[in-house]
Amino acid sequence: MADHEHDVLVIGSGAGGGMAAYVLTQSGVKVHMLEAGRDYDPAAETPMFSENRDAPLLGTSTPDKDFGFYNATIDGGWDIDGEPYSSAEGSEFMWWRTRMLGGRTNHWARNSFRMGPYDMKPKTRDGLGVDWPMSYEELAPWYDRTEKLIGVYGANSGLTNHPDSAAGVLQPPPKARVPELFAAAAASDIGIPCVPARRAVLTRDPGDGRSACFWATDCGRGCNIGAAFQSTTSLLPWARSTGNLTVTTDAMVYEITKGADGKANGARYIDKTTGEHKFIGARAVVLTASAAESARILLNSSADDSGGLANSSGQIGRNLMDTVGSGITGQIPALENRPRYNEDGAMGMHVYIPFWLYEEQAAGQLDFPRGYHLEVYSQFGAPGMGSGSSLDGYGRGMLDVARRYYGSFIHFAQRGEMIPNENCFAEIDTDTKDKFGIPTLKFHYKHSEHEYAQVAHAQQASIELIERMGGSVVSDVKSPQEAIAAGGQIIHEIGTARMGTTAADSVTNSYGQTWDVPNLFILDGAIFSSKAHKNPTLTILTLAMRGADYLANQMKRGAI
Amino acid sequence: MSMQALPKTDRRTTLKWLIAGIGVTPALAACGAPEPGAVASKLLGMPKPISGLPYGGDPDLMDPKVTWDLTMTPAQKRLASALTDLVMPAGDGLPAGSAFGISDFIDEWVSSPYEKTQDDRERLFALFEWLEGQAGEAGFAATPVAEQQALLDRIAWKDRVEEGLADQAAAFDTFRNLSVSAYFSSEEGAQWLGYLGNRPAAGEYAGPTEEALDHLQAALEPLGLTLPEGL
Repeated sequence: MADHEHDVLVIGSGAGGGMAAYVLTQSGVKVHMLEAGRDYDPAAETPMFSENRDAPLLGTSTPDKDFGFYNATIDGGWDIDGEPYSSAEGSEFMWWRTRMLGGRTNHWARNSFRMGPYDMKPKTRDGLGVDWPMSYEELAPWYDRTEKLIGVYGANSGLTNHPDSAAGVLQPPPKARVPELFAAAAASDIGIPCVPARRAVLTRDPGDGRSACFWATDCGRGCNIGAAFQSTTSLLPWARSTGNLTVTTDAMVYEITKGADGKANGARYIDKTTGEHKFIGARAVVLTASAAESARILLNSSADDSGGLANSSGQIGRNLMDTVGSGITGQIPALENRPRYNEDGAMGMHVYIPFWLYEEQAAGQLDFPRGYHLEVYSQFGAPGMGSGSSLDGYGRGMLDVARRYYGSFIHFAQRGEMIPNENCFAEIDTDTKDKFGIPTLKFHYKHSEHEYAQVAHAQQASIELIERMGGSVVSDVKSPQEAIAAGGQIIHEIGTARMGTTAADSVTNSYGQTWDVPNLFILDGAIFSSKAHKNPTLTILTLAMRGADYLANQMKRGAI
Repeated sequence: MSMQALPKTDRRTTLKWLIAGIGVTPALAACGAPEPGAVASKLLGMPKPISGLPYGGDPDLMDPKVTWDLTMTPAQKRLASALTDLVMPAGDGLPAGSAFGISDFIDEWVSSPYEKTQDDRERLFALFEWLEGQAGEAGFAATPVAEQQALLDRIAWKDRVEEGLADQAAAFDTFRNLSVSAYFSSEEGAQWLGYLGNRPAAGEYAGPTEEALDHLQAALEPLGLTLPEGL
């Protein structure tokens, strides 16, 4: 252990890695972080206020920048040059990556919903999938600490399986905008809840150098005032300020190494700036490269295990899940020509529709076992590519129609729980290597009737809402099989190294500590036991905080 | 900073054309795009071949640049400009589309080295050829507006596209989307549309104005809906 000055190697710098580094360095642990992407400075690189008209092609998406020119994704997207992945025959899986410090926290939607008591014990409830190795009650204080630290706006709505936060934890939510009030009115009339959304956006100055939201500029570009949470404006600078964090960027990790004592002792990576293969030792390793990339690293770390490191259960790469996604768009005549005002707000959702049918589900009245929520999107958005779509004819009359319709469309996005199934997994594609010579991933993916039935229900609920608003559906209502988003497309992929209660059927315990290698922790989406309909980042952050705290204590006690 | 109503010499034009073409990119060939310059034009001249590179996965977001050359011929530009003015004639305090240099944006679009835009290039150039061919000897751009409109009426309305002109109608739909999107993305266009965002404000989010809430109330009542409280 004398060959390195740090104690813990953290692989990855996004939600899991950022939080792990923060917690460990605060505890006095020396951390060395490896990030596959380049260094990234939000203060200097965030195009706040930049206009679509000043970007190439009005800033619209291209194969170079799938989410648009200004999006805070660097050398990433659905495809990365020289870093391929594949889908097995009959499968379609989309893998969103980015190669930058902070990873996907730089551009995520910031939607931050807690998992609830039902979500932690899904098998107990309906016999499907597996339970988590802990209860919601065990996780709740960690959610409180995480929300308080990063800053989450929202309200305690007191709804079943949508837990309240402790008093004083949440930031006040912003006022709802007109289409959101309209949707809430319709929902309330139908008997569907519509409540303040929860997003990791500050609405009060926290007094730590970050600022409250100033109600402008797309959070997807990143936020150089630190209002929208990303690890590069919070966890990483805070960890650095302890003097305990060293960061090496452009470090493409391909193997975690193990010593004769059975413990992890470091990682091998390629220095992308020179092409050199390097080794870095450590007393403990925390893997947070993202669910799929972490599985890839473990499966490529042959060591002496069969089929990869820490894989005696054979579960690494298995149980791959993503949020069930679909959407319906409506046009609401009563919203035409409505009075203009600044509707940017916090850019993302101010309200949403949480799942409301738990009782009916438990009573067997629904033909799908798990819940979903509806995200509500409608606003006077910044004009850009597409502002001229769906028009007819030409001339001033056509322009008047465009202006009349502006702000009168509403989109309901379904985000639902998927149940793990044996047809969904990632494995090493032995035939293909990336430009670094690292074997790549092949994804297998199939939805089941559970997901299709849920999509059908969400479509009907969305249509009912639009019709109650006096509107009409303007998007194609496809069959659930066609409407459902491809695996990975919602970018909530998780489950590839799930936690559990025994080494036989899981990879880690509830702290993300691998059963096989006690000083190897996995603290990203890989360790999820189930995929609740709640967007996963808040839970990744929370599990990472809890797991890193446990690791720090174990190190203090000399157990690791 | 913003795109003023300066014909064809606005900031985006001057700023983004800085980088000279570096030849045909291998990426373009690899992605299955048509042969550069393959779209021959009998009536409007031969456009330059595509040159330059895609802007890549890590462009400078603080200083956006177009990394490819413009390729349309002067005759194509004149036609696109005339078409722009038909789609977006002056009125209601706004100038016509050509005042915003929208034909330059069309050129930027069809000259960009991406598969989708190259597909649009082929379709739009074919539309331009067709319009030019249907116009009198003076050419489409110099044809009286009423005659231009009569021509456009054969393809511009979704429920009365002339038989056999489905491709032209689809290409016009693309042109309309591109040009109107650019029009509304200009500072004046966005103002006319009523976009009031991208302005920072301290304190609480102001939320809907009284006027906007009154309008909502009036919309809810006939539907038997009630304004929710606590949101």
